[in-house]
Formats: sequence, C-alpha cells, structure tokens
Amino acid sequence: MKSYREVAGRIVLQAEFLLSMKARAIYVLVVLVGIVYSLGTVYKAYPIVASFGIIGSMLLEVALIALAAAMFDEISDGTVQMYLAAGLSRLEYVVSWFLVAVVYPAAGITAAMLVPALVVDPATIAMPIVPYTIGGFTPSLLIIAIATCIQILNNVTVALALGLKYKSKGIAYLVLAFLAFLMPLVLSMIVSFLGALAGDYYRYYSLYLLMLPFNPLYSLTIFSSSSPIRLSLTTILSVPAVVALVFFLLALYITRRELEV
Amino acid sequence: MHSMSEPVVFENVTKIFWGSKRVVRALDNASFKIPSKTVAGLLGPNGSGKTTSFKLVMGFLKPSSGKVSVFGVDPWVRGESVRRRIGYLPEKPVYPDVPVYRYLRYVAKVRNASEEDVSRIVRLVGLSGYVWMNTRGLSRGYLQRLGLAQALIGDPELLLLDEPTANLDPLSRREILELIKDLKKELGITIVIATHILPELQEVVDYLLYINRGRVVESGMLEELATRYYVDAYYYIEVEEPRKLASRLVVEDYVRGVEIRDKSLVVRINAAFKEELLRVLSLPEYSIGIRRVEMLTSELGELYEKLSGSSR
Repeated sequence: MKSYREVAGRIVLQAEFLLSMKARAIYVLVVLVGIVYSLGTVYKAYPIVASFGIIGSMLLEVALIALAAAMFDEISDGTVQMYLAAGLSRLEYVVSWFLVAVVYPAAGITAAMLVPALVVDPATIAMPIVPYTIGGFTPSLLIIAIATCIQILNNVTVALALGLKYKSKGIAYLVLAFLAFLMPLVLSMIVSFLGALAGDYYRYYSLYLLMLPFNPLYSLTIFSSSSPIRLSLTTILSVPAVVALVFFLLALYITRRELEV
Repeated sequence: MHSMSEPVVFENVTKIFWGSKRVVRALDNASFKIPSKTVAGLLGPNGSGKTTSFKLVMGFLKPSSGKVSVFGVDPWVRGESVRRRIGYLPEKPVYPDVPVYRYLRYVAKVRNASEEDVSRIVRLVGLSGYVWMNTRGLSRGYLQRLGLAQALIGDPELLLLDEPTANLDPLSRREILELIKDLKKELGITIVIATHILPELQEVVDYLLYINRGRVVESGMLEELATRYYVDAYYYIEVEEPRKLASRLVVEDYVRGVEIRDKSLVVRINAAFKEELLRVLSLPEYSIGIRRVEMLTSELGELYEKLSGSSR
C-alpha cells in the first residue's frame, strides 16, 4: 500500500533540491515585488500599487515560467532520468516543479504583500485600496493579494500544463504571453474598436468575459460597479481558481498517461 | 505471474518513436528474459535497441505494444517502486549541477538509504577525494564512477549499465571493469551491461542477449551459446596435479591451448568439444584430483561475428 505521507515527503524533498539549485534569484524577486506592493499600499501610493501590481505580477509570471522552463530542459537533456532513477515517480517529479514554480511563489508573494502591511499597520489589510466597488465590495489589500496569488497560480499552471502536453517550453512561454499580455491587450483593442464602430463603447463589453477564467486582477478592474456586466467578487476569484485546478489535474493526467523521458 | 528467478521479462514488446520526419521502430516484437543473479551482456550494434530496452525496464518509456515486467510489475505503471530496486547508469548521464556529495545524499534520501551507505559507496567506487567537487567539473572517468555510485545506493537488486566504459581512456576503462567484477563477486546481484565493445564483457558476463534492428536475434547462457555456435571457450579446472593433467590434454587435437596456474589449468577448446574434455577428465587417473570444472568465458568476438552473420 502506497503511503501518501512518503509521497508527500519525496515531493517536498525534490522541491527543496530544485529550489536550492535554480530558484534563488526568482524568490528574491517574489519577495521584492510583494514588499513594494505592500509598502505602496501602506503609504497610500495608489498609482504605484495599481500599475506596479499588474505589471509586477506579469513580470513575475514571466520569471516563473522561465524557472519552470528548466523542467522542460531537464526532460530534454536527460537530467530527469537521474531523478526518476533515484526512485521518484513521474508524478512526484512534475508536482515538485509545480510547488517550486507555482505554489511556493504564489504563497511567497501573498505573504510578502501582507506581512509588511501587518507590521506597519494591520488595519491596512482590510483597507479599500482601489477607487471602485465590485459586487458591493471595494477591493482591499487582502483581496488584491488573493487575486494576485490566484492569477499566478492560474497563468503559470495553464502554461505549464500545455507545455507538458507538447513537451515544449516554447508552448509554455507562448501560452503565458497570451494569457498575461496579449489577451488583455487584444481584447481591449477589439472591444474599443468594435465599440467605436457601433458608437457604443459598452456594446461588446461581454467579450471581456473571455478573461474571467484566467485574469482575476484584470477582472477586478473591468467588472467594477460602473461596467454593464457586474460579477460578484466570489465569481471573479473562484472561476480562475477552479480553472487552475482543472489544468493542474490535466497536467497530472498527461504526466501519468503520456510523459516519456 | 512471472517467476522471481527472472527479474526482467519482455513479451512481444514493440516500441515505435513517431518523429516528424520518420517513424523509428526501436524494438520490434522483442521477447526475452534476464535470469536472476547473472551478469547479462546486452549486445548489438549502435541503434539496435539496447538503450530503448533499458528505458522500458526503468519505466521511462511506454511500450507501443507488448508487455514489460520487472520484478513482476509493469514499470510504466508502478515505476517508482521498481526503480528503487534498480541501479541505473545511463549511457550519457546528465547530473544535477551540485556538489557530488549533495547529489548522492539526495539519492540516498529518496531511496531511504543512510549517510553511512553513501560514505561506503563513495569509498568503494574511489570517489573519496572528489565529493566536494561539482558534478559538472568531473572528468569522464569520475563521472562514470559517480554514475556507479548513485546506481549502487540503496542496495539495488538489479544493475543496468548502459555502455559503462564508452569514451573512457584505457586506464579508466580497466578500473571501471575491475569495479564491475568486484560488484559481481561481492554483491551477487543481477547485472545487465549494454555495450558494443566486446573485450570488456569477455571477463564478466555469463548470459548473452543479442539484438539487432530492434529484434532479439539470440539469447542464452554464454556456455550454451558457445556450444551452439562452435565458439572457442576457456575452461577453468582446479586440480591437484595440474602438470600431469596438462601433459595429457595437450596431445588432444581439439585442445587449442593450456595454461598452468598454481593449482589449476585454463584450457582453451572449441565449446563443441566440451563433452570430449569432460570424458578425459572423468578418466580414473585424472578424476581423483579434480575439484572444480567451470567455463570461464568464451571468445565473444567470434560469437558476436557469428550472431551478426546470422541476423543479416
């Protein structure tokens, strides 16, 4: 009978081993982004929070995919064989990479955003930090931190899962670039262009719903109380979280059924 | 259910690689068994399917059809439990970029082996002076030692060595071979060595598997194959009076050479004449002092040529 405790132990051991080799620089970045975010909030530098929050999390996602790309390098150069030969399962190996490239950084940035605020002024955590309401809520630092965490989990997980399917880091980069940069940009352009043609900006606003499964940070801005489509905070946060979970399960399925090394 | 006396069993295994430009049939309906506690040589030219066979045993690849069974289980499905019982040295290993000792400690942790185990193996393979070096800074010979060290951690029941002496200088090659011989003697485990360099197998193997273009051409105990293919073989005879027996044997026309050692003889004959040799040894004037007769090895080069010829 397989002991799940042993499996978890091996995953954490592998994640620690990978972290110690490859991830130090990325983790410094994670903490820096979080701290700037948090201090910007504490000292009410909202323009910094708004712009740095979105751009910073995008850059962080790119850095995380660059980190996760090492997994594809290990698969193509054969290093993975040495890990598996030691006695890891393919699933344990892939899950340990998810821990290193997705879960730890997401948890790290959330903690880095919240801890300084707690230290300087605990009330900041619940303080509204953006000037609009969503489904009756005004996003607080806590909500923004959760949205950032979910966005990183979602985007990097989707990119990793599709990269695994095709055993290609190029695909992973492409998917991430699409989710984090291209989709919001292209959708904004399309909605604006079509809206301008129709003489009604809000006419094609529903196209933004395409972003709901992947971009909670954008959704917080787009589906505000002033927009024609109003979504609850629960919907904005839970839909991408569920999508991330589905893609994570898909990655496990691909690993178990197809991943040859 | 397979017998535990055969840790590796392939039944009609085919492995096809679908590339963008061509399809490669690396293994083609291959069936074979590796007997327990033998040192098996997996022979064949480059690209014959040796490495693919090892990867299937390790559960790194999924067979396109057929069944692979290692210790009675499917390594693709339950790879980790199988791999923890196997020591594997790939043909071109790529190690994590960390100091040697850290890497070996990591392997030991995954395999639930102790620190003492790591230290013992480091001494055994002669890596003691190199444990703080980075894996990527090691020379080719020491990389092979590292490969053997990681493969031996956790007392594996099966060792898979893929071209263990490829690209080594003669001295390193000799050292690695001596190490393999010691392992055979001391551990008594099943070892499979894939190679196309024959002299290195000559001294260690007792079972042969020859594959070509993904097909199993021949397999069997070395003695059995030597007899079947009329190949020269070397017999070791431990005897009370080696000179007396030697003088009797040299007059036999099928005997191609006799070497006298301390209390033993090494006799070279064509394996087809084994029965003749045994008949002489059973004569009353010789049989009394004889303590042991066994085949040391056979002329692998000759056997290889005959097997290659039969597979064309």
